[in-house]
Formats: sequence, C-alpha cells, structure tokens
Amino acid sequence: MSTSVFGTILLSVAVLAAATMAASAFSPLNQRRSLALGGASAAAMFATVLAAFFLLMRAYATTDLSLFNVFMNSHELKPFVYKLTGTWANHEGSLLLWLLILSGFGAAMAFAGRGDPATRRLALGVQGVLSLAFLLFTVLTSSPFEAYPADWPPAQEGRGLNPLLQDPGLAIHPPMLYLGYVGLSAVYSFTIAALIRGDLGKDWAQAVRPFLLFAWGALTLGIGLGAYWAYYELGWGGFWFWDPVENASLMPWLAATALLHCVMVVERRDALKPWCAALAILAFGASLMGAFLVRSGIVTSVHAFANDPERGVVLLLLAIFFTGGGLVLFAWRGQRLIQTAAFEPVSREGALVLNNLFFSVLLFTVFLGTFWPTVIEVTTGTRISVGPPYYNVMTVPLALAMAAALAFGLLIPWKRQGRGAWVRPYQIIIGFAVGGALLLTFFLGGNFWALMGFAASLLVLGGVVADLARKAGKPETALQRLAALPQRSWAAVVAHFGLAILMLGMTGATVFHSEARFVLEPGETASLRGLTFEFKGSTLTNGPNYLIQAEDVAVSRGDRVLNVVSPSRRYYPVADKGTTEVAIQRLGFGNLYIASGGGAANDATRTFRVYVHPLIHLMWGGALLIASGGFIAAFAPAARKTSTQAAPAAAEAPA
Amino acid sequence: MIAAFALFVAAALAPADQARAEAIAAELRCVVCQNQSILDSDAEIAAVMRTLVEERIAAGDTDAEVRAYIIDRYGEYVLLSPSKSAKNMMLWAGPALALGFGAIWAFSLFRSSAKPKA
Repeated sequence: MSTSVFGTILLSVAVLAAATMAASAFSPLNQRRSLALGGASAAAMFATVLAAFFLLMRAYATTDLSLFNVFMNSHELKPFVYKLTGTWANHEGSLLLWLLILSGFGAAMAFAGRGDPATRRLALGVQGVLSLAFLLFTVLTSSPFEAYPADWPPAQEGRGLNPLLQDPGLAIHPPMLYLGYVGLSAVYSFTIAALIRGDLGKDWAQAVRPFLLFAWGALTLGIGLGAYWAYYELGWGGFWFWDPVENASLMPWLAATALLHCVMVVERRDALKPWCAALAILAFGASLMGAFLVRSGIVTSVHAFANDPERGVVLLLLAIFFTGGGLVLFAWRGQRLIQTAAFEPVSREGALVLNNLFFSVLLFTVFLGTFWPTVIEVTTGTRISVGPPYYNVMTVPLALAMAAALAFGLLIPWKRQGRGAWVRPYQIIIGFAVGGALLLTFFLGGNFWALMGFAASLLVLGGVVADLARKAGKPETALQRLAALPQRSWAAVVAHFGLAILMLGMTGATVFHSEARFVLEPGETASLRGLTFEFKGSTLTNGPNYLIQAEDVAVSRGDRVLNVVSPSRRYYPVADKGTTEVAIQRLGFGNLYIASGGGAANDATRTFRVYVHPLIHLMWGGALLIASGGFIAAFAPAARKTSTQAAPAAAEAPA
Repeated sequence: MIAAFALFVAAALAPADQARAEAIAAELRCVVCQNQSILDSDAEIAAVMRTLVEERIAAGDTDAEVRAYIIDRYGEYVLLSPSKSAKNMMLWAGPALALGFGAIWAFSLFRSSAKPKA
C-alpha cells in the first residue's frame, strides 16, 4: 500500500474517532458509558494521528517523493535532522502536528480524571468537535498525504526548503508554541462545558489548572525560543521586534497569564467566574488567531511561513467560529455564574483583580498596535507602521505598575486576613526598589527607561524575597516551614523570580546596549566599549548544502586576544537564498554580537555591525525560569479545597 | 552600494549631530525590510535614507523638519512611532481608556459585593 493511501486511511479513521468522541457527549447513553466511549474514541484518535505523523516523518526521512508534500518541501541533500524537522515546517505537516497535539490533549482530558464527570463528559465532546473540525479541514483541503500527481513527469528531486527553516531554533520553537496554543484547547473545552452546565467553580478551576499551566509554560518557552531564534538567526542585533506574528504569540500568552491568576481566585474564593470564563474563551481564540494569522497573508512578518492566503483564511474563519461561538454561549449563559463570595479590595484577590486589569490593558494595547495599521489602510488607504517606539512608551510604564501590584499581591493574604501587617514590608520594598533603581541608574549612567526597568525588576525581586521571608517565619523553624511549602508555592516563587531576572536582563540588553557599524579592509581595526576588533580576512568554504562566506575577526581587550570569531553569510543554491550567521562571543552575562553585512564582490572591504548586549543571558535564563514555574505548577498536586487553609503561614507569621 | 557608502561616509557630522541623526534613524522604518529601522538595516535604501537624514541635519534642519522631509518622500509608513494625529487617536488613547473603564469595572466589583457580607 502506498504511503499516500495508508496515510489517508489513518486520517479517515481519526475523523471517525473524532465524530464518535463528539457524539458520545450528547448521546442518550448513561454517564459512565458515555465517558467510556468518549475516552476510547479520544485514545483511538490519538493513536491514529500519531501513526499518521510517524508515517509522514518516515516519508521525510527517506525523501519519499511519491508524496506531493515531500516533493514540495524537502530535498535529498538536506541534513538528516532537518529532513525530520521538515515534517512540520510546512502548512500541511504543521497541521498534522497541530492535530497530534490536539488529540493528545483530548486523550489526556479523558484519562487525567480531572473535573466532575458530567462536566468532563461535555468537555470531551467539545474537544471532539474541535478535533473533528481541524481533521476535516486537513483531510479535505490540506492533506499531507496527497500523492505526487500521476500526470506530471516523474519527480527527480524535491523543491528544497526555506534555508531560514534549517536551523535548530526553528525546528523546536514552532512545536513548543503549538503545545501552548493547543494546550489552551483543553481549557476552552472545559470552559464551554462548564458554561453549558451553568456551573463554573472550584471543580472547573481544578480541572483546568494543570492544562492551563502546562500550556502556559510551553507558550512561554515557545516565545522565548522564537526570540532567541530571531536574535541569532536574523542578525539584526535584537530579539523582539514587535512584529505582527510575535505579537500574535504574545496575545494568547497575556490572556493565559491573566487567566491563570484569575483561576486562582475562582479556586479559592468563588468569585470572578464570568470574567474567568470570558478570558478562557479569549485565550484560546487568541491562540487560534496566533497560529493562523501566520499563514493568512493578512500580515507580513519574518516569522510568517507557509503563506497560503486561501486556506489560511478558512482557518481564520474556523478560529472566528470557535471564538465567536464561545462568546455567544458566554453572553447567553454567563449571568448564571453569579458571584457568591464577599470581595475585599485590599486582599490577595483584590491584587489579582488588579493583575487581570493590567494584563487585559496590555493585551488590548498589543491588539491595537497589531491591527491598527490594517484598520487605517482599509479605511483611509494610508499605510502606517506601529513599531517599537510606540510599544515602549505604552508598555513600560504599565509593566512598572504591574510590578508594584505583584509585590503587593505577594504580601497580602486572602480575604480580610491582611490586618495592615503588609503595610510596613511593602513600604520597605518600595523604598528598596526606588532607591536601588536610582543608585543603579545613576552609577551606570542610564536614562529614564533604565530607571523604570530597574525599579520594576527590584519590586518583583523584593516581593519574592518578602513572600519567602513571611512564609519562613521565625529563623529557628524557617527551613522546616520552607520545606513544607506546597509545590505550587515554589512554582510561583520560581516564575516570579524568573520575571525579576528577565526584566533585569532586558533592561541591560536594551537600555545599556552599544552598537556600531564599521567598514573595514583586511588588517584594519576598530573599537567599541574597550574591545578592539581586527578584520583578519575572508574565507569561502563549502557547507553540506550551502556556501559559506566567513570574515575572521580577532577580538581583543587591551593586549589580550579574547577570541577569533567568524561572522558569516550562507548561500543555499537549491533555494537560491542566503542567511546571516552572526558571531556571538559571551562576555560574562552579556554578549558581543557581530554580524557581517558583506561587501562588494571585487573588493576586500567588509561592513560589520557590532553590538554589545550586557546581561542578555539573564533575560534568557529568566524566561526559562518562568516557563519552569509553569511546568512545576502544572504537575503539582491539587490544592486542598477549603479556603480557610489558603494562607496559614500568613495568619500565623509575624510580618 | 559603494556610492551609498561614499555618501554615508562623506556626511561627517559633529558627535552631537551624529547622535541626533541616529536617534531619528532608529525611529524610521526601512521601507524594503520586514521590520527594521534604517539605523539597523544593511539594505541600500536604508543607507540612502540615513544619508538623507544626515544631510538634512548638516543643513540645519530641526528633528521635526528632518522627519517631515523623509515622510514627504517615503510616506507615513516610515514612521515606526505613528503620528499623533486625529486618525490615530484610538491607537494612542485606547489603552488609557481601557485602563479607565477597567478600573471602573474593578471598583464596581468591590462595591457590589460589599453589601451581601453584612
């Protein structure tokens, strides 16, 4: 049986399984049988999609040109590992990866046993409907198993692949983002189920929590990896460009971050339920938008791949259907989620409302910035840009306010247990942050941005330390008490500490960066920030499937030669495309970053762009810590249910 | 390319003026690039635009005049920070409005729940 036929059969079986899964929830079967049927079909769908995925991967590994998809997107001469990752570096293959993760989460929902059975039954049904829609779309319009056309001349070699995609960063970062985007489907399905039943409370929160935190961790990691890829592969000396596609991945992250804090309130306090439901729908809607805006052709971006306006627009319509449908259901059933608990403004839940307010405003700002150029172009015909200067002005003050709210939230206990004990430590944190930021900015010669960045970072750091100190209590018993802290408390500590580190690194790498452009002949030197660069000369060599034009540059500090680095440019003949390979030399927590701008062919003169990014490794490390916090919390045991036990340390500990 | 560099090198400015030119260049978009300012781009047109900025500064233009000169030739698209004109009012005021309405919503949340607790 040919690969094409076998793959199509596997996907068809998956369609049947998805249909059964969707139908099981609404069938007249009793609850136990319906759940069993839903679970079995979820498992069957996962198994068949997994088999189809491996089948496609095998076709890529062996460059099986009988598949049209392999013919279009791969080539014999590609390195083996990029043949494998090429499986998902195209429209059809990435959809199959999407389906694999979607069905994986469906199976996890069925077997993790979270949520009360009636809600889980409906949630499985909603996940089945989602899976069915995307499976049908794939099979009908975008099947990776389409055969090579019989009436075409026999295929000799594949059509290659975008060289930008032949890179470890791009091999890992889309699957990680997908894990985040699709993970939110489980949150969506549980929310729709809860809305249908009109009961969204602690059970819902506990069912949704692990999926949400896992998806959030993966999304954080995916965005971080994307930024890292842009940093070293584009050779522009930056890591975040406020590009529409970057924004499209940031929006679901902002919504999910707001949601995971909101879920905490629902879990402990039976409040904010309608808001939480709306956020859950928006977070998954933003994920769908983020995933499919990339290929719609509506926005142009460096990250846009597999641009395919027609099918992309259908995907966008599916995204609008599921988001819009969810919101209509919310409008219809939302008022049933009446708030029952009393709400104290000066409390942990009050701080979390503030957190949600700030995150939503940030989300709205990014949304405006991303789509405003489209609005203006459609209404007035003028093309405008919304670039980094806009986002810096809008988001940095907000980030500072959020940091202040975070420190407050970490100090104040739930409900009315605060009793003013938080005031003194909060004053100390504010003083520490403002004083520290002023000193750092003054001694390092920074500007107003530096002041805000340092203050935000120190506020969060102060909050984390004060929170730990409060939880530790008296020095004699501190270690015991810290060891007894639940896993999810540590997860919050890790994530918030990561945020402080990330903001510090970001401030260093952006406000205190240096850059220069040098035009050098071989033997000439230039210097920047106490470093001297000597251009030694150029070499031309062959890579596996590209040519390398490298420029050797000796970097020295004083009389000591630190290293000889070789920023280079690659040319891929099959794709007739080039890439820039920057040279990065680590200097402590920072980087020296040299990109070759090339030069005229008949001339030995070369242009170099040289950047120094202090503390940038703190930023990468911070992002890793934030994501780890998400994963640690995702696999933490569920919290005890009674809200009186919510903040025992706070009640006993002297502030 | 070489001609562009010759021009680029030719317009030697005083350090303070050079800093002004770079600050302006950092907020102008390179029209053929995906998302780079003309300060960061290696494209020929970016070099040409940088030269234009430096020439205008050398001719004694203010920052606003330099920007107006570039917009006349390349369109409003080159501004990475969009103009604060009437048509962009929503863009600039939107976030503050959202914050205001959000704060009112949050406040109502506390007020409405203040009663049942008694």
